[in-house]
Amino acid sequence: MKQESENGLDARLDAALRALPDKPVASNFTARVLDAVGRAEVLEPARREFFLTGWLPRFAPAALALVAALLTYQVRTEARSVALARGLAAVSQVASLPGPDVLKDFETVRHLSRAPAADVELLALMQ
Amino acid sequence: MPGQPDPDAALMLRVKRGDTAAFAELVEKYKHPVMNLVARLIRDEAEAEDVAQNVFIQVHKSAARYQPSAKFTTWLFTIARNLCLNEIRRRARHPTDSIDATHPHDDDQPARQFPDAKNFSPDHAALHGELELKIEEALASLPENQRTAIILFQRQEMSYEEIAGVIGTSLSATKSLIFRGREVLKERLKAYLQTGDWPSEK
Repeated sequence: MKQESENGLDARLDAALRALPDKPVASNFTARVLDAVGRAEVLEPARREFFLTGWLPRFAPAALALVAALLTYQVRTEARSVALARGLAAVSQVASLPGPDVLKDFETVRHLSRAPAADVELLALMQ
Repeated sequence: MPGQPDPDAALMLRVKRGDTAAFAELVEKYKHPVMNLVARLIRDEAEAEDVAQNVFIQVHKSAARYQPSAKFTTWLFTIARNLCLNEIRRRARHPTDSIDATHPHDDDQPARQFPDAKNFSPDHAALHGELELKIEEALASLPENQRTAIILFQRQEMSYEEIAGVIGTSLSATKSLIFRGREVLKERLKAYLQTGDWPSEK
């Protein structure tokens, strides 16, 4: 019974919503839309012309100067990066020194590398 | 696109090629459905016609980018809904543009005149009287997305998939919107639906 009542309400709601009248529309609605579209098509070339002859010449030099400044900044930043990279490359070569193993015989080598003092008396006799 | 070819998509492709007659045919065909949706979304019949015209102007402006990947009506009503939402947001930002404002030179007159809702034309005999007003009030009380979904479902007989495309939600969310909206309408209109003077099917 409840289900039938619910179904009845659903059906009546469906019918009521479908039967709502259309909202009124002016008889010249389509003509006004076509007119507005036609005017927009006329305005569009005028807007383009304003952009080319009004806006662009006024702001283009400033825009170009800004682009040039940004490019210069970028080039300088890149040059600094390149210099830094070269410096790092040079340091990295120093890092290829022999390891601490060679210092194992350091004391021996140090003693051997000491040159003996000159024998001055012998030198004088030889002359 | 699955199923039958869309004749409106064919017309729109002609509009894309600059065919004004095809555009006029689309406007004539959809001016009432668009107006029905717009008027019930923005709840201002005086402004609704301007917004409805803008819908078609936007359709024409966007013709170059039109692709028949979805039904034409999905695209059309998406544009209509978006313009309505823009208008609703504009009014929220400028509340002084109230429809209740009085005329600037005469406090006894409203700023805007509206057609008398009770002045039914003979063509509207199918549904008249208090029931129609109550239905419109009940529809107006729904959140925008439920209202849009119900109007497109009941009046335009669009499928759930098409409505989901217009509102930008999933299929299940669309069904839920329509179900919940209808439950609210049934609750608010129960007394009228059960006892009112009932129109026959159109």
